[in-house]
Parts: sequence; C-alpha cells; structure tokens
Amino acid sequence: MEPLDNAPYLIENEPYYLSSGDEANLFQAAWEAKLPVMLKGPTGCGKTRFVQHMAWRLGRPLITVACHEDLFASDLLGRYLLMHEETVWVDGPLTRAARMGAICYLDEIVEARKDTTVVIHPLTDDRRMLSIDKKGETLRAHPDFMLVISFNPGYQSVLKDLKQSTRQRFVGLQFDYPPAAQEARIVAEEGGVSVSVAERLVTLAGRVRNVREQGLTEGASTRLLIYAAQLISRGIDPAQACRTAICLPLTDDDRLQATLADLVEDLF
Amino acid sequence: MAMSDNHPLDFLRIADPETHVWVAGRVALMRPAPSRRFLTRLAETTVWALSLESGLGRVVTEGLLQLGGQAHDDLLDDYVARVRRAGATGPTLARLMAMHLVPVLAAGPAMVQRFDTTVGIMRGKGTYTLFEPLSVLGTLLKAEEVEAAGAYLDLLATTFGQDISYNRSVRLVYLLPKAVRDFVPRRRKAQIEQLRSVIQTDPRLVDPFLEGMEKGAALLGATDLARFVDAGLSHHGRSPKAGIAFLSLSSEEGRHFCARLQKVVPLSRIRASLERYLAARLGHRLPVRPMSALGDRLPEGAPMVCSDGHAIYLPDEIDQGRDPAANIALAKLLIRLEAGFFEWDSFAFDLARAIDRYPAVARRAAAVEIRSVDGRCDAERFLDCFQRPALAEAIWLLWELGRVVTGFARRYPGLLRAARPALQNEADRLWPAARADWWTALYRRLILGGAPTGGVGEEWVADLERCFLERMAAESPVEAGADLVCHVYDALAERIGKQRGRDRIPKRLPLGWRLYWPLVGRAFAPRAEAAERLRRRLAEQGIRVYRADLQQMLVRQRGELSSEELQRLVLTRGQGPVPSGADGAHADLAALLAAAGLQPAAADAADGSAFRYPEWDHQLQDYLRDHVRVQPAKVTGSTDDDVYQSTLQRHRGVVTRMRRAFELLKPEGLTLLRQWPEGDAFDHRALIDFVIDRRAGRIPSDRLFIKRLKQERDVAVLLLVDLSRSTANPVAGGQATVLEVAKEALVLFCEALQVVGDSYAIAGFSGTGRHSVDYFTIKAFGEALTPAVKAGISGLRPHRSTRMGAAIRHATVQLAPLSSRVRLLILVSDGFPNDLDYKGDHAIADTRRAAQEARARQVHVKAITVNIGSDPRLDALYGRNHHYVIGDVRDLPDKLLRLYGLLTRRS
Ligand SMILES: Nc1ncnc2c1ncn2[C@@H]1O[C@H](COP(=O)(O)OP(=O)(O)OP(=O)(O)O)[C@@H](O)[C@H]1O
Ligand SMILES: [Mg+2]
Repeated sequence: MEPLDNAPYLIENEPYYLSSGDEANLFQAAWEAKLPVMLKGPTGCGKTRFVQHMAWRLGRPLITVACHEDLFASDLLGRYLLMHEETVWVDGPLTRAARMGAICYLDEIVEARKDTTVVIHPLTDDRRMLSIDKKGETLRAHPDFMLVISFNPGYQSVLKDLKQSTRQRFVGLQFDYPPAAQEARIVAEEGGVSVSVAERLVTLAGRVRNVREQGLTEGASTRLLIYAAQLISRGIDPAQACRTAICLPLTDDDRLQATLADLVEDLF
Repeated sequence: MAMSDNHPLDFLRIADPETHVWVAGRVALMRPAPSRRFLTRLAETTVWALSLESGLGRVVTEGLLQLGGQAHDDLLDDYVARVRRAGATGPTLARLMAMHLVPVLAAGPAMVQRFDTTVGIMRGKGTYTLFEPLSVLGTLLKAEEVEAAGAYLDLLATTFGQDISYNRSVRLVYLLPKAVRDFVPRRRKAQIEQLRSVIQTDPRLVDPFLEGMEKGAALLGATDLARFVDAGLSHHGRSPKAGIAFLSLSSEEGRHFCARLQKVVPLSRIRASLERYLAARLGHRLPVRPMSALGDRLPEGAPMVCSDGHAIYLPDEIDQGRDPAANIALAKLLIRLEAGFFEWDSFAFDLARAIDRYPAVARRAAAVEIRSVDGRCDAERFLDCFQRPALAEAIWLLWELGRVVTGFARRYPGLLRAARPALQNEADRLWPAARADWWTALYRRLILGGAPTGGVGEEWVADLERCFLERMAAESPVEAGADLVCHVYDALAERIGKQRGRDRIPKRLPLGWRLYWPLVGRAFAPRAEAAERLRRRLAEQGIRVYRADLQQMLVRQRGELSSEELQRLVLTRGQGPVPSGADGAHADLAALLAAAGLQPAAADAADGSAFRYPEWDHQLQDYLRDHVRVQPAKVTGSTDDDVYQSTLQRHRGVVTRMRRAFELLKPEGLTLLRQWPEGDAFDHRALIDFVIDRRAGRIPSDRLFIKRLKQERDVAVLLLVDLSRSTANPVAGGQATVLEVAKEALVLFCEALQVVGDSYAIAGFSGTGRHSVDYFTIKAFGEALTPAVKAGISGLRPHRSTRMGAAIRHATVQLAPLSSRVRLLILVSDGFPNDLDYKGDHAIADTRRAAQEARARQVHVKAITVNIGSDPRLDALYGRNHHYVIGDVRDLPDKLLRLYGLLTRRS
C-alpha cells in the first residue's frame, strides 16, 4: 500500500499552551502506553488547544472530528463514493488516523449517536482493531495511533451521558479554567492585551463564576475572555467588549444580565 | 366615707379582694409613686367598673395606670367622666373608651374634639363599627403619628357619615383600618387623605383604589398621589367604569399615569438582585436588609447605608433620586461601596492581632483587657485606649475609608469612577468650602482624590496625607490603620486642642458611607463568647487563632464550625504549631469544638423499626451501619385541595403555556432513523451505497429509507422536598413562605407530568436526629393524582431539620426497582443539610455520598436550592454539575418545569 500522506495533518508551529499541572506528562505517558484518553472539563477551557499542542510535541498528525447527532458510523469509518462511473472507497477520519498513526480527537463525543460510539470500542481495548464491515477489512491500528475524546459533563439532559462501557475504556484527564494568574497570561497572549487588562478580565470571570444560578450554570470560559480581549485590542471600549463577548453569550436571563453588567461596570 | 387614715386602695380590697391583689401589684411598680388622690380615683373607678362588668375593672385600671400616677387632675377627671358616661350606654362602649381614650386625651383638645365627632357619627351606625378602627387609632397615636391619626379620624367621619348599607359598612369597618395600618408611616397621612377623597366621591371606589395602591400607587409621593387620584376621579365623573379601571391600575392609561409619577423603589423589589451582585463580588452570601430591621440599633442620623458585619442595611424605600432608575442606581452604588468593607475585611479587626503586629498599638493598648467579652467589638475597645476616643475614631475612619478606596482604585476603577462624582457632589453640598476643616480636607484628598485646596491647616493636613501614603501599602490589613492612628494621635490631639466639633466625625457624610462600630459590636456579641471559648481552648493546645477570624467564620457558617473549617483557618490565618499528624489534628479539633459547645453531642440510641440506613462518616472514611432510622409519615391536617386549585387559578397563564410546552415533550419529539427498511423518504446516502453495490456486483442493502419515529418516553421522576423549619421563612419581597411557593411548584409539576405522562412521585422529608427522619409520601409511583394527593400538597407544613443523606437513600429505594429507562431524583431544598450531629462537612460528605450511591444504581440525582444565593459549598454538596440555584424562590414554579424539560429532553 502506498504510504499515507500525513503532511496535511501535521502541525508545524508550536501551538501556544500554558500548562497548569502535570497533564502534558500524563498525556505523553498514555500515548507511550497506547492508552486512549478522555479529556473532561467545561467548555472553552483549553482542551482542544491542549490536544493540538500535544500532537505538535509528539510530532504526530492530528485529525479532529466534531461529533453531532447525525454522525454515523460510516462518517467515521469511510464509504464508497461514485467517481467517474467508478466506485471509490474513501477512508473516514477515524480509519485514516488509525492507518497513518495520527492522534484522532473526537470532540464532544456525547453528541454522537449511541450506535456510533460503539465503533470505537475495538479500537480502544488492547486489540486496537478497526473493523470496516462495508469494505470487509479489519484494520490493525498504527502503533502511533491514539484516540482522544472530549467530554463535558455539564448541565445537560440526563439522557445524554456516556455509557459506562464506553467510559471505562479511557484514562481521564480533568481540565478546568486555569488559576487566575495563568489565565491572565493566556488571555494577554492570545487576546493581544496588556497583562493588567487581562487580569481584570480574569477577575470578571471569577465574579461571574460565583453567580451560579439557574440560567447561568456555565461560568465565563477562557475562550470568551479571549474574545473580549481581542475586541479590546482592536480599540473597542472594554466595558462594551465585555458585554458583547462575555455577558450576552452567557445567558438569556435579563436579571442575570443586569448583575453581569454591574460586575463589568465595577471593573472598567 | 372617711378613708383618710386607711390606704386608698382598701376600698377596693373590700369590694373585690382578687382584683385588689392585682392592682396593688401594679401600683407597687409605679415610678414615681402615685399620689394619694390618684389612688383614690383608681379605687373608686375600678370598683364602679367591676360593678358594671367584671372584665371592665382591669381595663379601666390599665387606662388609669397609663395616664400615670402624676397625671393632672383635669385629665384624670376627664377620663373617668367619659368612661362613666359611656358606661351609661353599656359596658361594651365603656370598655372601648377605657381602652382607647388615653392616647387621645394625651394628644390634646384638638384631637379629643375630632375624636368625639367621629365616634358620635360611628355610633350612629352601631357600636360594632368602633372596634377595629379605634384599635388602629391607638396604634397611630402610640407611634406619635398625630397628623396621620387626625386624618384617619376625618376619614372615618366622612365614611360613616355617608348613607351606606349595613353590608358595606361591615366591609369598610374591616377594610379601612387594615389599609391604614398597611400604609407606610412616611406617606400614611397623605394616603389617608386620598382615600378619604375617594370615599367622598363614591364608597364603592374603595376596593379599586386599594387594589391600585397595592399594585404601585402606594409608592407615589404625596402630591403625585393626589394628582393620580384627581385624574382617576375625573375619569370616574365621565364614566364610572373608566374611573374604576384607572384607580385600580387595570387600565393601560392608569398604569402609565402612575408609572410616570412613580420614583420610589422599595428595597424588597431590588433586594434579590443586590444580593446576587454581592454573592458574585464577594464569593459568599451577604444579605441585604431593610433599615427598619435594625430597630433601635439604627445609627444616629438615619444614614442611607450601614452594615454590622453580617448584612448591609439600606432604607426600606429608596426615594432620593429623580426617578426609579436613579433610585436603583443609587441603591447599587451604596451596595458597591459598602461591599468594600467586606471585601477588604474591615470587620475582621482584631485587637490582639494589631498588638502582635504593631508595637505602637501594643504600647497604646497595654492596659486594655482585650480578652473580655462585653458586647463591644475590638474596634471599640481599641478606641477606648485613647483619651479622646471620638478623635481617634475620626482619624481612623479616614484611614479606613482611604484604605478601601485604595483597594477600589486598584481593583475596580469603574466603581470608583462612578462613586467619586456622587461622593463629591454630596461633599460639596454638606461641606461648603468656607466651613472646611482638617477632617473634610483630608477626606477630600484621601477619598475623593482631590488636589489640596487652600484652607485650614494646609501644611499639617498634607503631612497627614503623606503619612497615609507612605505607611499604607497595597493590601494593608485593617489593623494597619489602627497602627497609623497610634502614630498620629498625640500630635493631632495637640494640634486640634479643644475646638468644639472638630474632634469628631461630622454628623453627616457623603452618602452616609462610613463604619459604625457599635453596630458591629452588638451584632457580633452573640458569637463573641463562643469564639472566645474556642480561642482559649485552642490556645491551651498551643494554637493561636484570632478571635475576630473565628467570629467571622461562625457568622458565615451560621453558628456552626466543623473541624475541617477550623483546621483551614488554623493553617491560613493562625500562628504557631499545628497539632502533629493530620488525623490527630482532626480528632483534637473535633473534641475541642465539642468542648466549646459548638458541636452537639450525639443523640442516644432508641427503638428500632421503620427503615434503617447507613451514614457516611468521612473522618472514618467508612459507613456507620444502620445509623439512621427513616420513618414513613403521613401528611395530616388537610382534607381539601384548596392550595391546588388556587394555584391553578393564579398561574392560569403558566399552566396553559406549560401544557403546550409539555405537549411537545410528550412523544419526546421525533427520532430520525436512517437506513431503515421502510419509511417516509429516501435516505440519499443509502441510495448512493445502493448504486455502488449494484455496480460492483454486490447485493445491495434494501435499507434505503428515512423513518421518523415517535419514541416512547420512559422516564420516572421523584420530587423530594425539604420540609425543614427554614421553609417557613418568608420569601424576599413577598408575603408567601418558601414552602408555600414550593407547594405551588409541586402543583404545576403534577399538572405538567400529567400531560407528559411520565411516571412520578412526590415526597417530603424532615426529622429530628438520626433516630427519626420523617419521610412523607405525598404521591407514590403508580398512584393516581387523586383528591387525596392534592390535599396532601395543601397539608404540607414546615417541620424540623434536614438529614439529607437518609432522605436521598430512602428515595433511591423507591426509584431503583422501577424499570424505566431513565430514573431521576430531584431534590428541592432551601439550604444545607443540618440536623443533630449532622452538620458542616460531615453532613455535606454524607449527602454527597448518598447521591453517589444513587448514581451507582442508575438513578440521576439533581438538586435545586432556593432562597439562598449561590454558595460554593453547594458544589461540594451535590457535585458541581448536579445542582441549580434559584435565588428568587418565586421563580421556582416556572423554573422547575423548565429544568425538568431540559433535563429530560432528547436533543
Ligand atoms: N492552557 C491554555 N493555554 C493556552 N491557551 C489556552 C489555554 N486554555 C485555554 N486557552 C485558550 O482558550 C481557547 C479555548 O480553548 P479550547 O478551544 O481548547 O477549549 P475547549 O476546552 O476545547 O472547549 P470546548 O469544550 O468548548 O470545545 C483556546 O483557543 C485558547 O486560545
Ligand atoms: Mg474544543
């Protein structure tokens, strides 16, 4: 078989990632031990960025799939297509990753249908196999292949949960919003603002995370802080930037909005 | 009768020995001692009253005693004569007069005359009209609302002077006093007058007017209310219907008219949002209370804001601003400023800490008994170390405000930008430049950030400012200010000499923003003793912790401390060695807490029956077997479903909306099945596969369709309601209690679940100690929504405490055997678990454990906490993603349904 071209999936420049714990070492150890990894944590706290960073660090290509309700097993495995009166097999992202020894990142795995989730089972135990029924192929994963899923056990329907049989195939890494000082460095770096402005944004996030009422159950994510910072660095008034990038996306509850506006006013 | 050599009361002794004993007892307590004439009158009149009706004797005695032993003869005569005259009509009237005349007579002849007129008119309608109205009159006069009382008498005269039917008069006799009593004192007179002009026009307008008052007209100032009523009455002139709609604020026009005039904002309306802001800013709950709750503790000069270290107090109504928006902005500003004292720990001032840290304070306080507990706070004790405490307090307040403002400048530039102009305006208004003194000059520099202005003591005031800037570093503790006081005090005292009025804090400060130490002292006093006891015990173990820190912790934890919290405190704020070995430390601290009376001892064992459950002891890291006894209980005391029906009535809108929303949930929407053997449409992807397979000579699959499938919901849910005593607390801004609102939520929940068809059960829990946790089943799974179930909801009452773990375990046992695909337990509570020997971290750990056990049995546990702000400890209690806070309980009925919809939706 011709060697696969993994160039499109290789990450050239180091993605900026500021570590706040031992997660990089744990991830690397899991990769060496060929264990699949589950990243848990609230939205926008750096899970995706971390995987990008690790792919670069390990020199592996990275293939990312955003999961959704309509994702079928064939969307992961691959399918035949019609091309110039011929039928051609095209690998799906999971198959491609298993072949080329990439890191395959299934983002928000709970969003996928339950029957889709099952195809990853044989890949995640010590067989490390992928059986592609349609093609009649059983693929043994490349030694460098690694499966990573993300899972945000947030405030969602109790009907949406990972089955134990799926959960128990992964080692878990817990993510959370970074400690204030680090979060400020990240926001300054990524948002292009001074550290003092970034610190203020992080203070705001801390205050917002204190309001954990129904209607505002997810605190302000690092991602939103970066958005606000990016607006500020383009000359938008800071208070306005916070309202646009942080307050409005967070909740539809007017009363909570009013509280958020008060907190913004204090800071800028 | 010649009684001169006998005691004047002997006459009474002979007539009625029993009453004599009582009267003599009361008389003996009179200060100053009553005159002989008074006693004679007392004896005669009492005997007369007893002859008329046995109960009247005491009433008359009370009246005379209220007039006082030194009362003027005329007054006494007048009172007695009037009561006797009333007695000629009958004992009922005599009793009324005896009861209510005293404050009227005391108010002077004008009031008496108005009283006579009104009573004369009312008696024309029947004596029954006097009871309630006179008792409210008494209340007004006792509160010294003389003007309002006069207006009230006129109102009564006007009303009952009209030709009204018996039925209407019965109703008015009830309605008017109640309305007048409910008016707020500052607007009472004006409101009574308007009520009167409404009645004068047409007595039938009373109800619409009072309805309008309740809906918002009560918040209008005197002239605005008059304009509103005038407009309403002129509408009425043209069309009675329009007038009624206008006055009752049912018409769009009436509402607009009123809204345009209204500027007052009642605190109750904005309290929840202020508290939410505080919780966000401080990271812990801090209540906002109305000034009226301070009672006699209200600081002199009725400030606009103050706090006692436990809560922030604002006026019951905020009305300084031009319009409601300005008033809300003002309230917010006050709260944001005041929160600074909490954020920078002004109330954690501890004299011992100041002494340890600052030699100057140690020298100054050498003679003070700092350990005593005497209802004062350490700040007051510190100030007493100075010859002129008021002067020390004055300079200290500047340092303290300056310290907090420095914090603002660093952390909250936006806040300071908003606050400074407001403070500045007030300062200019209160302190005209000509009357500047050292204090106001320094205030302008330190707090307003003003440039030095010419005037008093230019040089040395600048020195004081320099001193502050040099010595107060960023994040200096409150004690640093005390140190600075010691440094400047002597020079200051000499400089100021004995200039009157210059050696103390000005009476009025911008926005009234300052510290009131006596308020703090009194508020902390109840905790001070416990804190001191604990501090001593810790000191005996060689652990040094400051009392102020213990006190604050006790306040925040509502009087309970666990050994973990204590250990955290020791580690972060304490000094000296921590007892060796983490486990040993725990045990020691727990014993200490018990010894200091802060952790009640375990209850003794009792009988065994009902259900037994284990409890998790996180110190042992093990279960205590069969530790808790749960007894099934019945809801008693209600056989009708009035709450159920009235809730449906009141929430008609929500019910309709909710029914519609839940209809949609019902078949749980539609599920799309692809590659299905038959169906409503082709699945294009499958079609391509079909073609390809055919070409390749394979047998194609015939699963070519998309099918929309109604999927059965298969959900079972148990709603578990906390019935602890605290659910009897009133809801902020309303008259209902937490439990009453929860009941409404239950009703709507039942209605919704009937629509969706999910299997559901409802239960409540409460208990006292581990041997009796009550579990009330209101509706079991499979039981129909019968009248008995509805009555059960009506009959729920607050009981005792909250042993959550056991209740969750028992509820889990109900849910676990069900075969439903999704089993859900929703717990509604208004706080933290709390029971005998079930507090703090132990209770939290056990509750969390119980929820984990449930989850292990595939029962989802979600909790809703109402009526307290978000508290980070709730995460520890239920797990971060498993609970919801609803700050304003009144949202519960609506939000519970929304949450249920969210929790069980499919996509
Ligand atoms: N530790 C970090 N180092 C550098 N950047 C970070 C870090 N944490 C967060 N970020 C920034 O936050 C942004 C959001 O993070 P990311 O997209 O990785 O979140 P996520 O956890 O994957 O969120 P979601 O669950 O919503 O997908 C990133 O684009 C990155 O700029
Ligand atoms: Mg992501």
